[in-house]
Amino acid sequence: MFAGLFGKYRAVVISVAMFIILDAGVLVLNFYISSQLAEDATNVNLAGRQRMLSQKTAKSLFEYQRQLEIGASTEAVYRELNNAVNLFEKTLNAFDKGGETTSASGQSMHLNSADTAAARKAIGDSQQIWGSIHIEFERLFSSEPGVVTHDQALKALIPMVAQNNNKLLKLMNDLTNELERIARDKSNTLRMIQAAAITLAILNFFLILFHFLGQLRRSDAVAEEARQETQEILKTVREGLFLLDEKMVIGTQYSGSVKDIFGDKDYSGMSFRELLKSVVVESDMKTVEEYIKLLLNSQVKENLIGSLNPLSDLEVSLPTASGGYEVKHLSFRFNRAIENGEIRHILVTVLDITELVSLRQDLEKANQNTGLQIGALKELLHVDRDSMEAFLKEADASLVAVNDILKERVTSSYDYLDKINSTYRIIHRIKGDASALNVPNIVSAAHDFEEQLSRLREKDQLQGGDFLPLTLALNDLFRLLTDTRDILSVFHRSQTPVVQQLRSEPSLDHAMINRLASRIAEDQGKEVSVVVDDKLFPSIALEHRKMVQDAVLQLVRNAVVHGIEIPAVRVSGGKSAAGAVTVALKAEESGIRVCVHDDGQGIDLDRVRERALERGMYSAEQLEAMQPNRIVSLIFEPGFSTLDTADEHGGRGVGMDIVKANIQQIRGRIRVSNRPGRHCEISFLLPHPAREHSESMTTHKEEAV
Amino acid sequence: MEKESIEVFINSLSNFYRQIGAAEVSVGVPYLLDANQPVASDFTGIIGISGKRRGCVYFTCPKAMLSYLLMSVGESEVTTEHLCDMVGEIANTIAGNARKEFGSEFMISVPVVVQGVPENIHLPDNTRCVVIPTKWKSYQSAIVVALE
Repeated sequence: MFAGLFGKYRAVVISVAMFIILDAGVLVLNFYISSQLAEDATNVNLAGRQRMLSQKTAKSLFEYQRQLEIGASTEAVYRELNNAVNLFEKTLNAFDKGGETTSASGQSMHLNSADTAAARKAIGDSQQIWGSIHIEFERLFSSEPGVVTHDQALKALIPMVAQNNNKLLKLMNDLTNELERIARDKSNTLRMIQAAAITLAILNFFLILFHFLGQLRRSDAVAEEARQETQEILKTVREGLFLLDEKMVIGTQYSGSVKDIFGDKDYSGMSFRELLKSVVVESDMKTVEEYIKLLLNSQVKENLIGSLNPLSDLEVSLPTASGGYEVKHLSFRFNRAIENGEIRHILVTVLDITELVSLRQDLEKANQNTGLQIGALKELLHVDRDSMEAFLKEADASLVAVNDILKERVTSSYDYLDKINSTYRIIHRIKGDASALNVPNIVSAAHDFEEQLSRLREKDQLQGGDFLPLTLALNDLFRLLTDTRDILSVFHRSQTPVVQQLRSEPSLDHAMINRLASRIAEDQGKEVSVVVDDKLFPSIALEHRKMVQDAVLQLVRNAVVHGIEIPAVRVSGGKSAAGAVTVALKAEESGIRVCVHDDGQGIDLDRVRERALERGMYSAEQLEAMQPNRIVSLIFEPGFSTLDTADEHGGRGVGMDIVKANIQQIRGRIRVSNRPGRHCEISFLLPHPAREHSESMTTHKEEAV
Repeated sequence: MEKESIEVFINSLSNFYRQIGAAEVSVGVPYLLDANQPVASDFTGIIGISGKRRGCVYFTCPKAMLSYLLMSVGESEVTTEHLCDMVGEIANTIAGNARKEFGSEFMISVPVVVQGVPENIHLPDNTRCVVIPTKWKSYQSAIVVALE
């Protein structure tokens, strides 16, 4: 406190102190002057009395002598004479050397000796004259009337007094005048000093006044600047800031963002409850109030209750200027505003964390996908960029085709099944390609899509609305492809090709075929080796090569999944543990034959018959009437599979129907050579382009068992 | 986009037909919008959606169907204003039902009615929109759901 006073307000304090000191000085001076004046007045009075006493002495002496002569009573006049002489003597001595005398009122008082030259001269001369007179008076008073000494003294006194009476009067008059002059001089001096002191005090007063005013003006300017800065801060700051008092009422100052967040209103003096009324339910409001009460309680440690803040993330719907509602996420922070160790207010900070929350949600979503994407990324590391890009492009086009299938108008309930089957074929091809390229997340997404298709296929009385999950799954697949393309582009951008793929001669993708076969074998606990002889591949028409590659992949998949047995079974059947799959392109008179041969268990005709019956494809009678080659052809019909459960490699009965559809499209022919328990070979003939026309007349399949 | 949120809109449309005492609407196979180019028939009622999910939902149908509907509710005069009111009413019903279903998470705007091919339907570009073809009597209409 004092340090503060002597710091900031030192000049003012000193000025005020000086003013007080000066005032006090003037006051003391006043006292002094008045006491001096009183003293001087007394002196002048006493000097005047001496004048009077000198005459009274003479008068009383002569009266005394006359009374004695007429023989009257002298008692009164004698006493008067005695008093006058004694008082004169006492007062003169007091004037001369300083000492006691009796005042006009009869009180004893002290008198200082007069010290100016004129006074001293008057006193000295008086003493000289009075000295001899006083000796005679002593003699007079020491004896009774009638005694010789008394009469002698009286006789001597009469001429002495008569002679010196006027001299003494004059001397006492001089003394009086001199004392009066001294008093006048002194009072003049004192008045001058007083005037000077008062002038100084007034000057000091003006000094204080101007100093104060200047300082006030300066501090006002500083305060105004600070206020403006505070206003600017409050206007600019993104957080909603305001203070709450102990009654939870909002203070007069709050940041502009408060209005942005809660709407354009005056919030000063509003209760916190009123502010939150529309956004916080009553029970939560109570919790908030309890929390604030805890904060206002100085016994409670602030950092201990920080985590109790019930409004750290509040989702609210607030009206917008356009009349709609907007969902915002607000975060309230409460801090104690402490002054002199006392909790004065609670500072409330409101942050609009809507963006933060949405970013967090995005991040969470992204994190959920990361697991998938890291796996995908790992796989993509191994994938040839060109094949991958080609695959993605084709898959995208395929999905567009699926969407077109969905879009086609439905005229009968069969159209629904058609949609399902067509979609199946496309999705299955995507799955196959993805599997061959080893992109597991696309494989599994396609697999899930197929599962949905399976469920739809089994449903009775299909309706348009039943396809909704499929449409959404299609959307997800589209997105997955986009994501994969994004990852790929990021990944390949920084990658420089280490090994340029040298493709002097077009060929089947051996690596892909091998990878697919060994992956399926590995998943199913089988062993397999694939031999590819594709020397004739360049002679296949350019536009058919992709189809041949796809068909070979599907047939190899089929061979490994359905043909090759697990090692234990093979060994017990007298075969080598590892199954052999051979892909061969052979030149024939009418074209090129593409053969996929496996030394597996072959096609079990009874099992095919059984499955066809189970799947309700044909009645028992129809199946009974079928020739073996017709039975074999069932494996190319949509929805057929001999596997009990579907996994990503097979069992859904799609794949072979795609092969068949594709081969039919280019007017090729399929041939199946099957020996149950020993081997199976599925081949198809690609007709020479020149002969295509004549062969197109026969679109039947060659089927030989 | 979840199946459930889209079904809410489909059910809302069915509700509308039920409310006016008309036969129920049949739903076609939903598909995705190509390159998010809005499809629209003669009249379209658009409902903006904000809040937790952003985007829009619109109902679009031919003039003939609206005229039929107007007459079936006893309106003798068929003016453009009436047609707009009708498609707006359908959109409003869809919005109202959806609001009930979704609760406070979804903010649903007042329907905007557009005649002809709308230029100002802004569809989100980070997802494909789902078109749900609907058929009532012989009239083809559609609900398009475009949600982020």
